[in-house]
Amino acid sequence: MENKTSNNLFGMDRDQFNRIVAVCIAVVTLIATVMAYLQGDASARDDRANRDSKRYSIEAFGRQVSGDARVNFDFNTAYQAYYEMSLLSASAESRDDIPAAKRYQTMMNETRQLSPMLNSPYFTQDSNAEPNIARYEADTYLVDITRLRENFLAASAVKEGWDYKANTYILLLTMLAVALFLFGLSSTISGPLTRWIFSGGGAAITLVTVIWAAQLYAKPVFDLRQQGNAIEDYAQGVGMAHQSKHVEAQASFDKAVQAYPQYTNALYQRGLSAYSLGENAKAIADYEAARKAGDSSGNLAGELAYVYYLEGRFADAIQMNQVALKASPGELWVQFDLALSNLAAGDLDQSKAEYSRGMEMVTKQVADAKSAGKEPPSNLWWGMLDAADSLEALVTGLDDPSSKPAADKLASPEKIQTEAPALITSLKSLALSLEYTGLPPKEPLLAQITPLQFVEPEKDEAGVITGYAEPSEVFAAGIDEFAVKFDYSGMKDGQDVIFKLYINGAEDPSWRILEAWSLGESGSAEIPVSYAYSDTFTFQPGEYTVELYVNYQLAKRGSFTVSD
Amino acid sequence: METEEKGSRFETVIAILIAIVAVLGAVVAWRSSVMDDGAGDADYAGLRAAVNAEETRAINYVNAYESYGNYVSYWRNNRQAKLLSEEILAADKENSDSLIGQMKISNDLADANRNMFETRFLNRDGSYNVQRQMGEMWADAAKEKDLEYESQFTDAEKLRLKTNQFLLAMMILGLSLVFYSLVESMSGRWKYFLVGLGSVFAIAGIVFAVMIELGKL
Repeated sequence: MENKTSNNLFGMDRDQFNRIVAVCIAVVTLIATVMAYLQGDASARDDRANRDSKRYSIEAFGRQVSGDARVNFDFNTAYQAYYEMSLLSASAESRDDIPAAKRYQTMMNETRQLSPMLNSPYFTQDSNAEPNIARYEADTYLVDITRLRENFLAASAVKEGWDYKANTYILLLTMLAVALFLFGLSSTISGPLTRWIFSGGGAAITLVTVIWAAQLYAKPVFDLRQQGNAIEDYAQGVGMAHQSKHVEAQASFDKAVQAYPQYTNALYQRGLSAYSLGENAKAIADYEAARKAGDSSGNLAGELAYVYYLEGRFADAIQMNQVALKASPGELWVQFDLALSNLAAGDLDQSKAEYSRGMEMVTKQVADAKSAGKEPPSNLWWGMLDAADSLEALVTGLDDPSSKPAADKLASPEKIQTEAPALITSLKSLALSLEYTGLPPKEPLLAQITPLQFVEPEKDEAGVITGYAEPSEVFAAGIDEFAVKFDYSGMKDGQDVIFKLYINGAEDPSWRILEAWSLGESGSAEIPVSYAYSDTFTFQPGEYTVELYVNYQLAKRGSFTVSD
Repeated sequence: METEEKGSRFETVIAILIAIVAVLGAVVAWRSSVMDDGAGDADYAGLRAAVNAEETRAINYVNAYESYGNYVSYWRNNRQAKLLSEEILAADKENSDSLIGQMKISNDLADANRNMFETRFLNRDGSYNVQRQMGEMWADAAKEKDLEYESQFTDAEKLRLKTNQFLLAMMILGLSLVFYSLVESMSGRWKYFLVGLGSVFAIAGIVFAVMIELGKL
């Protein structure tokens, strides 16, 4: 009787206590079964999302390969055949070979049955334009794989969410096991206070577990696939943007954003479309919204920085480029944009330092790739040439009131005028030298080249060149031959000489000339650029630029126009 | 004395019931685990089939359109030869010789390309049925490997549902354990009420589990 009394606490004897503990154990067991059910459910959803993400990824890959194979045939085989027939027909017609012209015309028409891309709505036979390959790609597979990729990303995010829940439920189940252990132990302990401490501990752990589980259960797992038609609208928008139908693309992205306002990809793509339409303020708003919604990629930050730059917000551009470089170290185009923004902001020393850093980065990337027996990525060359083009646009924009960034926002236009050409030359020379040798230019440029002149050849009746007309900067449409004329000194036979021809700002690599110099140390040279072998091709209207490189150093540039 | 003996028997019955429900709960947990494992296996098989299907699709497209490209070379030369043969009929002697030469070259080139694609996919009108070629290639691949993944994913979903249902059955059995445990803390008629309630949940859990197992749900 004495013993029993000494075992009492809170007026409860040991039997009563044990009965309560038994009930607690039963309740905790029940909670554990509920938790096991929730864990099982979360785990099943995790597995399902994991499977779906893999499935979408596999399907996207298969569709991409099959779509590419199909479009490659449609364009490179079917359209190529059509194009060749049309050229042969035109050529026969110009030779007055009417039967041959008709024959090729017939074959040209019949070629259209080889591919849907050679028919409406992708192709109009009466126009001279190429088929609308962008629309064909969008309809054939691009929208499809965009949808699959977005679903893949969405399913991956869902997998992460349920994986977290499933793992947390396991932790909670472990805590319940501890609680059960404490309850069980408390029923075997003789000391009343210890008994109560153990059972109290078990109850506290159970309570914490239940509250935590309730919070976890209430927290939803976000699934983009369930946000109305967000993914479908986004995919349609990407298809439209691919066709450069940016107004229609914006409308689709609007719908996607309406369905899910935090849809970062849709915000980013809508920003890109706005930028393409010249709506820089809208682009900035969308890019900023995308960043706010969680897109911390270097690519987005770089794009945003560039639009800041165009709008004359150079300090913002510099800061955002730095953010982009932090997210994507080694991204060349961002590095060069940073240098450009510094130049526009008037900080010439910093700009030069950033350009130097960029050129060191590219040299290292090429050297690393070569030493590993690999090739550097193509965007490396693009990044270099884009940097030179951006500088050139900045210089030419100084005299153009409609240019972006506006000249009146530039801190020091005269510095840009004097320093940019040397930077352009360095960038172009380095790009070419790395492309051919994998190393920066070895020797300084010693050759002296006079400004490039463009002349039409004069020929006798046999077609032999007898001389050249006066230099001109404008030629009439339809010319099929011209020559680049210049005087030179300080050249050495055997030096590598490269000519590049740009038409409307883009290099036409088919015209690139690479040869060893063989015209002696000094003199005059005429380098012919000719379609004279053809009775079909002529130089089309546009802006033409020729660049002459000596030992991979840009020695001279010159331009002319072929008028309409 | 008799009351004490009755109480002891009652406690023994409760202990046996708890033990039975615990064992049944373990069996249900085992079935749930088996179903979950089956769902994982079905998912894996489905993903393997998806890889097979997309690999087959990609290879078929590449090969079929390559054949189609060879057909286009054949068609160009063959068609050119036919059109030239029509021109020859209307041409004078001087031109005719040149056209005959061209026609022969075109025919030779067409012949050179004839072996580069499957001529059995040619339609009656001489066009090439690339869709039929891809359909046949797909059917050939389907004989060798599993390309159907939708049904396996559906199976996985069914098994996953069963897993959850078994867990639900476990919860019901767990409820019965609570009521059986509460019996000890009650007295009088309440004891029998709790035993009854526990038994109802135990039977419901067992029936539910059996129905899941038999696929009746």
